[in-house]
Amino acid sequence: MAKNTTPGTSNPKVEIPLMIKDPTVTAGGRGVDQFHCTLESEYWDGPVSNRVAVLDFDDQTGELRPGAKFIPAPPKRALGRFDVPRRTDPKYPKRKDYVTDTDPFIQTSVFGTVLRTIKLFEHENVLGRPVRWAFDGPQLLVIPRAADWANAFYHRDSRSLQFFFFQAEAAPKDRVYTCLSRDIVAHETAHAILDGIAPDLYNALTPQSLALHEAVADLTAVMMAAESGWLVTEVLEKTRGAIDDSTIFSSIAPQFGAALGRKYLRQLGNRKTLRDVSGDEPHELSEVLSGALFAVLVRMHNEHRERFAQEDKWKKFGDRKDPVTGEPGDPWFSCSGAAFTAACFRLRNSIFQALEYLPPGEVSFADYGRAILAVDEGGNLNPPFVREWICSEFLQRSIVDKPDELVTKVNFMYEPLDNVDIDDLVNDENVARKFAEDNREFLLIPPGVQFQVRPRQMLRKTYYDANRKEVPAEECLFKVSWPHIESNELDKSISKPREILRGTTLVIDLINKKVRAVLTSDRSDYQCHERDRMFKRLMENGLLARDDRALAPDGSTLDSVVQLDTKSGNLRVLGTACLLHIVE
Amino acid sequence: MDSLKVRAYNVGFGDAILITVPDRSASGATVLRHILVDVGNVQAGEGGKDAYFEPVLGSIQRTLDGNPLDLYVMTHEHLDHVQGLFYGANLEPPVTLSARNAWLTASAEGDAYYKRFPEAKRRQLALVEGCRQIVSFLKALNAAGQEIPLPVKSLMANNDHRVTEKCVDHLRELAGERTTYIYRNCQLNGRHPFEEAQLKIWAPEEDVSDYYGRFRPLTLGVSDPVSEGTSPALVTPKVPKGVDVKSYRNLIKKRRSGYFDGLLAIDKAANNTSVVFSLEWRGWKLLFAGDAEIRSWKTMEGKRQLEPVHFLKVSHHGSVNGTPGEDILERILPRTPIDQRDRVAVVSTLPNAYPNVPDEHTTQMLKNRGLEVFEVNKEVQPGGYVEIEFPADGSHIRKTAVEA
Repeated sequence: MAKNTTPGTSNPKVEIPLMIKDPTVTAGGRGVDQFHCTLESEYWDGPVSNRVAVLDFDDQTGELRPGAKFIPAPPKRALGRFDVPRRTDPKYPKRKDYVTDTDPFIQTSVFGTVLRTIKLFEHENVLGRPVRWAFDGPQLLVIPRAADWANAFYHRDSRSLQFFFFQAEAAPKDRVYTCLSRDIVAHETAHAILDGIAPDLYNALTPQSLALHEAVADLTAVMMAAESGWLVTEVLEKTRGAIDDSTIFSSIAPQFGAALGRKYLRQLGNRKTLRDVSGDEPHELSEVLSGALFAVLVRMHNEHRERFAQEDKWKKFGDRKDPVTGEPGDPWFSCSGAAFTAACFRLRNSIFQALEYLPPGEVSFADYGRAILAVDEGGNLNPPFVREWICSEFLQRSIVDKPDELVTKVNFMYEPLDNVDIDDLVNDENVARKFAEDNREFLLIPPGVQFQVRPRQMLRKTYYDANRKEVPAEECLFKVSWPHIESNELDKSISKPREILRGTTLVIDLINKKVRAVLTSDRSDYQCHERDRMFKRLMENGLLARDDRALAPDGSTLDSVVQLDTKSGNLRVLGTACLLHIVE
Repeated sequence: MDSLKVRAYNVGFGDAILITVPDRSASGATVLRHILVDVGNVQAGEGGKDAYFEPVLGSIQRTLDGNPLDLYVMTHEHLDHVQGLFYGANLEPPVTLSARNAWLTASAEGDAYYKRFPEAKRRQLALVEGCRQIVSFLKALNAAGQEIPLPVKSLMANNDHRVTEKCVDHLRELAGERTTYIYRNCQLNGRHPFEEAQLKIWAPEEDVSDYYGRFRPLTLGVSDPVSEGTSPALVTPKVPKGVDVKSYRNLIKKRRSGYFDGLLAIDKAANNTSVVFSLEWRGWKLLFAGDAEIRSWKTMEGKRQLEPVHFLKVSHHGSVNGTPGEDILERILPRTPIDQRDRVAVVSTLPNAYPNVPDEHTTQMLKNRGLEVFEVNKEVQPGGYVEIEFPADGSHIRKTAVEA
């Protein structure tokens, strides 16, 4: 596996404690992991760094609590840290555990979990670049204890992650801090990261576009759980190396769910299909997609176990006896942790890189499936059978009707690319526009429609391929979007059609000037029908507010409604992502 | 020929509706019975002038000719629905009305009600606390020299339970022991005098907790007054080191702007507890919807309460959320009417008095269904009324506009 490097390794190294799962879960007697972070160039009390700032407001007074104090690395020492109280556990006298119910720990843990999630995406085998925010500001603001409420969410307008706390229904004396749940913090951070990658989803009307946000956020929580060696070891010990029957990785936010009288918030270990869910509720819908990809993860884990167990490194465990029980060794069990980490690593490389390949505008699960398969096949990231598993899951869950709906041609020559200077295509708007105009048919831009060429993105990353080789990759993302007009039969009081955004992503392999992939928005009637349903539901629940009616007197956008813009020619919805709070 | 009359007074921004129903006495003789649905206006700007009540109450008294009302209905606990009779009773000399029966929305029973429904109490307390914080915030804004926009003042005045409570107390005493706290499926026998006309409660449900929703907590950052007589103040902690100043200021602004979402949620919660009832008389069906908003309409639909009607008192002064979406509307005002009778809607409203009320698309939606829509404020000056007559033989509706 590739070394765990990230951009900016000349940065100071800082030790940050963070929760392994949540306060109800401990592993090996510990509830806290340590993260040695090299992502940021500067740190201040708070914690605050160049890209993340924790602001711990007191919900009663509005004052800021003092932030955890930053202690830079002493001279000749490499590790900076934050001043978080620790105490000795009488059971383990040599160990000094963090005191988790203190302000500095709460502040530092959420900070560390946000940064750890960012690191997951910035890895050279994933994005290979720093994450970008969708808002105009350098820092993601993190409010760990916003107020008393069973909720948490990413809020673009305030450039923040808002975490709330509440009293558990079953045990009213227990206060649940959502900011101490690794799942919830990873989930909300993923929303912010995905918003930077695919900002159009924030205003999407297609239910699957919003559900995609949820599914990716939940899968990020799973990948973050896999990043804890303690947790992986503990769980696999209990399950004798299998993840099929364990809910610890597949269940999202168990403490939060239990406090509300449920086992967990969502379960990724499911067999739900699009036919099973009611349709347009994004959280419910998301379980179909996250369930499909989690099922692929389980199969990848089993496949890795089978393969690893045959390798000499693990085979030898079969000849040893357990020193305590005297039972014979089990290579399948012994390699299960490494297999799980490897499976997560490989799956995340495909499913997170695919986010960059998504076409601009509205997207469907099938769009995402095509993007995953394109990045996976284009970069040879996994053996073909993994792509077959993905196809099979998408078919079984009724995301597509036929396997060929997921087929995307990859790595092919396209003559017009030979005649264009890539530097000009990237830097010169006129050249980019002319290229799009000349290649409308290839890019599937409808005749006569006005289109917009998005700023081009250059990707420099490393593919870790199916042969365990690191292959440098340089790609250019060329994205065009255009308005698509749909009839509006639902709101008879406004005789205007509805407008959504569609688009195409052209991925150019800069090393050989081949087309890595071309991906265009789902144009199926099914998605249009689903948008109708979503629009109708928003309307009937009073969640659509026309134009200025979506604004507070000070001109700021109301959080309780989705704006319906009726003034710019057609009907457009804005800010649907505000529906994606963790609970309603 | 007998006719049922619905009279909608112009009280500024608020409701005052007098229904006169020819009914039968115990001996079989025709007798006119009177129902008064709400009297109140919102206490902000032009729409909230107390002076409007005097001619309205005087007109009602003259119509009653010294008799008590047969039924008074308080749809919900908002000033623009409850203030008028309390105001009249405190005039010098007092202008008082009495009632043989009074129906108040279930949750207006107060402590006894909330003891039976602890979840409703919990949620109501959250709303009350939210309201307290917003009052404090607006005072702090005012003290900082910022003008409070009129729609915000109206919303605030309408939802300040400390002001409303006195008015509701007055209405609780209006019919003495014959006061009933009303909800769907509650026992109405003996709680009204009607022999021929049929009254049916469509809403609210007895447990109103669902209408209250889950109140999103506020993060306004206001300190309590230092001493009596001083104003609360806005708390703005200084920008911590390393934090982007622009982002920080934006965050503080966004945290505070949530007060308006909060106010709308508080307003909506009370609106949805509105008593919604139908009155059926000689083939006519009339619907009085109070200020019911979408959550209440959806509940009514879920409970299969909805039936086609000929008359609609448009809910919530013509707001976009007061009238349900096309599917629900089709149940009560189908595009193809169920009979040949006229259909009409009345909306008591006033532009610019309340946020986003009235909504012209909503009025158009009703007109598109073939209804004649009367906007009281466009028909008569404050103090006057629009009267609609529903003839016993089902012939055409007649409308009269009478100035004070």
